[in-house]
Amino acid sequence: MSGVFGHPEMEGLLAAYALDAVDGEESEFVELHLRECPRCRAEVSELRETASLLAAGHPPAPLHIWEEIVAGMGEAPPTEVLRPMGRIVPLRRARTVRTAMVAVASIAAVVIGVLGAQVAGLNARLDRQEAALPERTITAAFLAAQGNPDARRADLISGGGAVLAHVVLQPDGTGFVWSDGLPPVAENRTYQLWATVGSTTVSAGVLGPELTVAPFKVVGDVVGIALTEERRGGVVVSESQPVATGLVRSA
Amino acid sequence: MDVGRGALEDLSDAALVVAIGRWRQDAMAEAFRRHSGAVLALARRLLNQGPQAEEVVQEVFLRLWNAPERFDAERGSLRSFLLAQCHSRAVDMLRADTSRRRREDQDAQRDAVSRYDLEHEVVDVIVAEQVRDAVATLGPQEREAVELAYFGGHTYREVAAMLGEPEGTIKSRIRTGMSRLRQGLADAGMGPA
Repeated sequence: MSGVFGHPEMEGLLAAYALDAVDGEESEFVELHLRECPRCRAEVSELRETASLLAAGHPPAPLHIWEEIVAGMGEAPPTEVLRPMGRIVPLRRARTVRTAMVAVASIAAVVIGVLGAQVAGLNARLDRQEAALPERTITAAFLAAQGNPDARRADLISGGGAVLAHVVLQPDGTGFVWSDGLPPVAENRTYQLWATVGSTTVSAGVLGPELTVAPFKVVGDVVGIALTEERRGGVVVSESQPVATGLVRSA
Repeated sequence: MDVGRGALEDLSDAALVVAIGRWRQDAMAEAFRRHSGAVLALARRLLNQGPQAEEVVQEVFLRLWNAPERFDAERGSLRSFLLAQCHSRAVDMLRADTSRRRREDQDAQRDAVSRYDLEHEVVDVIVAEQVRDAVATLGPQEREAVELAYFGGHTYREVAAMLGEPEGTIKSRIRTGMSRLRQGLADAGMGPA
């Protein structure tokens, strides 16, 4: 949705927006548009890259500023900004979902299919995940996964075609889902991630009401990912329409 | 991937951010060495020499420390990421300070051209030359609009009011000016094409 603006009007605003020279409601319209339009997102990135060159070439800032930063780092060591999976539902055997969650991946307009949902040892998965990440933060693991050339990726796309979140999935089954624009849901609700493995779909994690970045692990050949909104604590079987879905692309 | 301390200077910005994600303070120090000057210069350009400019630099780098995953190397360089955050934060401060804003608007109206000078923002001789060449491709009105928006921290509507021009005209000048700058810098081998 671009509100009252059509694409040409939006393109006319992008340069001013990239320079923070658009404010108020107009700025919100641009941001809404950018969530849906990869071409305009790329345009804004390039414009900001251009602007950054205008401020190039200065010597480092004075030492006392660095010392203030170090003090800030010391007083407030980085809390884990990556949200671990939220409340985990008990271990259950897989069972077939009764409700079809028709998941449209806009690129190929492929229906991911009827979700058979299982919550397969999420607690155990979390433990394994944390054990598998010794001496490094989840943040670092996420950044490393982003840089992993063997990782597979998926864009999670709404029914309206907006890219709402992204997934990176490594060959060992560890993955991350992240979003920088998905609005938080109510406190008594949660996002939940699902992975389609073969012909069934398993719960890959209860993500909490606000999705920034979250780790997950899924064993098997994941072909699709879906994100749903559920009641707090998550569900074993989803009856919700997915918020967004995506096909996992080859590395 | 592990990063030895001696190798930090050779790391790409993207790899540096990975190291920052592992809470490597020396990687932060290297990022500060590379980019803090440009961030501070931009903050000062927008907020003058007061303590607010230094606060913005601290905020920008502490945000990188606390949430390095917000930087996506596929979307652009670390410098443009840091500068965009700096610009946005500084502009927020400016717009929150309405009395100061009014004062600066008056100043800007008085000497809009002499006060903002793109070329002199750049001290590195080679880069300055390339930027100067690119800036020279702008018409004076385009240049004025870009300068007032970027270094003045003004919205395009404010720029229009200051210059007594229609808003659509200013929007168009900013767009054309940025487009010429991008092409000019690309021709010089800098920035995106």
